[in-house]
Amino acid sequence: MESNSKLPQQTMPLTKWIAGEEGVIEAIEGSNRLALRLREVGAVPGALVRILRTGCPVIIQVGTSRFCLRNVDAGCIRGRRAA
Amino acid sequence: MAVGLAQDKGVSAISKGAVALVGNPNTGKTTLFNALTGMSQRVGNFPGVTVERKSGYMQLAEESNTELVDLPGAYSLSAQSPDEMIAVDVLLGLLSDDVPIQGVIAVLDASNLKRNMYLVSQILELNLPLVVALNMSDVAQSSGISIDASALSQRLGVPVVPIQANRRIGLDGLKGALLDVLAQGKFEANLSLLPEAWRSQLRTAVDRLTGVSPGILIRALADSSGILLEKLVAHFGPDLGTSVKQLQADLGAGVSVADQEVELRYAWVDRVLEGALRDPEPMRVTQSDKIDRVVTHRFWGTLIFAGIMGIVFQSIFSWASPLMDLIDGRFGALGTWVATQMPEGALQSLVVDGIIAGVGGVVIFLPQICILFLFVSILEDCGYMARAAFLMDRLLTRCGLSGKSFIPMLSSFACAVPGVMATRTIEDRKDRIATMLVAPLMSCSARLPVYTIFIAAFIPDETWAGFGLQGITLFAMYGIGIVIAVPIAWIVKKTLLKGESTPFILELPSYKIPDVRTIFMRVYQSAGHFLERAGTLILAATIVMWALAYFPRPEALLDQQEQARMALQSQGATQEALDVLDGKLAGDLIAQSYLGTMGKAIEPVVRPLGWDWRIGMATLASFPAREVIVAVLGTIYSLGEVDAESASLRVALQQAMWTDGSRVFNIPVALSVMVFFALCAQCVSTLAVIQRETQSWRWPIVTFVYMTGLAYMCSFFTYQVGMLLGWG
Ligand SMILES: Nc1nc2c(ncn2[C@@H]2O[C@H](COP(=O)(O)OP(=O)(O)OP(=O)(O)O)[C@@H](O)[C@H]2O)c(=O)[nH]1
Ligand SMILES: [Mg+2]
Repeated sequence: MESNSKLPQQTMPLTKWIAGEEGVIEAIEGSNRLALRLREVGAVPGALVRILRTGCPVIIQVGTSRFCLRNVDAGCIRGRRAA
Repeated sequence: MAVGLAQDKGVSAISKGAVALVGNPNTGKTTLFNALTGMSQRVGNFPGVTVERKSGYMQLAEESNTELVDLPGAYSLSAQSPDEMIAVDVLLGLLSDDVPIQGVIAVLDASNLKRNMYLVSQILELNLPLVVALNMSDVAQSSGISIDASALSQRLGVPVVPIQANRRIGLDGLKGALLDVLAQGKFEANLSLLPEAWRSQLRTAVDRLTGVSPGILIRALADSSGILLEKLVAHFGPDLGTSVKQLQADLGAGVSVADQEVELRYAWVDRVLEGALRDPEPMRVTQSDKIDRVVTHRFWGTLIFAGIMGIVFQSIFSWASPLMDLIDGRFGALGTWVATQMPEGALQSLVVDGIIAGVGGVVIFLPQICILFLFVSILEDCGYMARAAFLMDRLLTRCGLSGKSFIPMLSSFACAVPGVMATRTIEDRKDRIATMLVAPLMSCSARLPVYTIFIAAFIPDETWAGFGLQGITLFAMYGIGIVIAVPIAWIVKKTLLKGESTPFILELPSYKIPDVRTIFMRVYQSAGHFLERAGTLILAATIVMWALAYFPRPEALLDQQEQARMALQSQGATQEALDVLDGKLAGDLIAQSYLGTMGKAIEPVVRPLGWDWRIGMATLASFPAREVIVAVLGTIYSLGEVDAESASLRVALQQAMWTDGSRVFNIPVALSVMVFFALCAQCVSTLAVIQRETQSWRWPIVTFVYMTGLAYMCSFFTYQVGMLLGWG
């Protein structure tokens, strides 16, 4: 297996990702209004996600839409980065 | 009531209810609305353009007009902001004085289908005939997305029609499909995505209640805030409340609809779209992504933002000047001509000094207004607004607001009234009010004539590093409002509206080439609005001010003048000497007019700002609407002149003198007037809309007091510092 040389593909909050990385959403933590809205616009487990800009606010692509949101809020999305 | 009336008269050709346009924000609902009704409501490429319910009529079949309702965009029927709430209220029929909704067109962005289907899944649960319009089919196609509309239609059980609203493609098909579903009438709610146990429970509950669709029960069950439930109970009666409680208990402990709704719906969406939606490369890097690498860059993006603003103000100044001079000249000539055609007296003075010199003086700023709105509409329709909000979020976070507040603030550069309304997109009430309080600090188009006239008259036409000094001054006047808004928002959020910094989420739409028709309509409507204001509010204010400045014309003064004139003439004095005498009389008359008397009384208040009584009175008269100052100064200086013909106001301002012969205006005075107008709350409509939106008198009063106090202080400071620096 190729990926042995790389880091294990574990779930990480989006805030730990670097710009341009993409992967799959595993979980959305938190039950506040923003978490609900994120899920409603498609940030559900299994959805494709990509970080377009890091910092605060961040820009993320969820499915085919792009959103900007605060770093802390992006942190409640956990996902698995594509190798 | 209106509906009953229509039926009584047997006007069955007009259908019984309205058709609503519902969809996610920025999917082209208003574009479709305009195409179907022939109206020209505002369109723009950012979420949250439409913030209120608008209605119009479309012709569905011959001799049958159907009401069409355009709504604010909503991501979900679990509304989070006041604008989404309007869409939900209309759709669930919660507005009692509203025409009932008999059908829905769901407007979907075909290039973003999956997310858009979430809302469709919610609408399907209401008992409303539905047609799905797949808009932006051009965008979808160019991204390589293909959608099998007939497969989708079969799975949803409703017609699915691909359209392209901005080119009016597919509208006939859409109308046909709508006619069909409306003719079928009753629509069975589609509950297929719910677990079987829920479905039967819901059906039993619905059977017990009247006029309630399963969708309404689901909305009540999913409502975690309790606000919607309260409204639903108020509308449908207490039985609904008991049913909801019962259902909550029956559906089992630990299972809440709110928690499961999203996953259930997306699972359904995946099933429905399986094989019907083909998107070979959903995560590809688009053209917009590439543009955003620069435009949303912390450093380059900010530089671009400042650059765009700089260019806008520079152009307003340099492009408009020749046009303005042209109109100005025309009005001058018109005044002279009218003066020769009319007998001397009060009526001639009203027309020449009041209407032509006053209102005409405002109308000459039409070119500036058009250029401003040209830029505003291009920025709104290309997709830049959301990026600007993104860039400004950092700054706004520091004062307790968010990037969401920036769109209403940017809109306020055009006019604060739509700016205040645009705060409906802000979820948090405190943030929303704080934004309303600072939005009027943004320099609206009504301030433009004030800035322009003073800049043209007093700021030297020099160039600094390629930028005209006049343009820079204009830029600075716009800047003041923004710079002051930051600490004000901070203070407000720390005191009156104490609260945490709230979450921020904003969709960034893809860039588009601005639509020519959209831009033209926006400029055209704004120009019309400006002229309408000039012809009504400003005209009325000017006539009142003219009368105050013209009367009472004391007999004694006129007699004295006549004697002095005859004495001079008998001595064989030159025309020049006679003109000087006339000039003195005109000056004396206005000084002794009602306006002059009032002006002298308030002069001590405005003296520290470097103003004379004329500016003081003109400013006072401008509290209902800012442009009035230009009209009133035009009238005052025109009355105070020898000839009836009015030289331009610019020249009159440059030559205005104190009684001791020194010039009234110099750079510090001009700046002090401009700063006052930049910060003062001189707009009745804005205060009224704040009252309406907050449902309280408190906030318009707060706005008025703080802005006016601030304006006085800053204006004082500007004048005093300017004089100390020796700019006088
Ligand atoms: N390419 C393309 N652009 C479209 C189409 N329909 C609308 N637009 C553009 O999409 C943008 C949004 O249109 P609006 O009609 O304002 O959208 P809306 O749904 O009313 O938006 P909100 O009121 O903010 O919810 C505008 O720039 C339109 O010109 C279409 O079929 N194709
Ligand atoms: Mg709209």
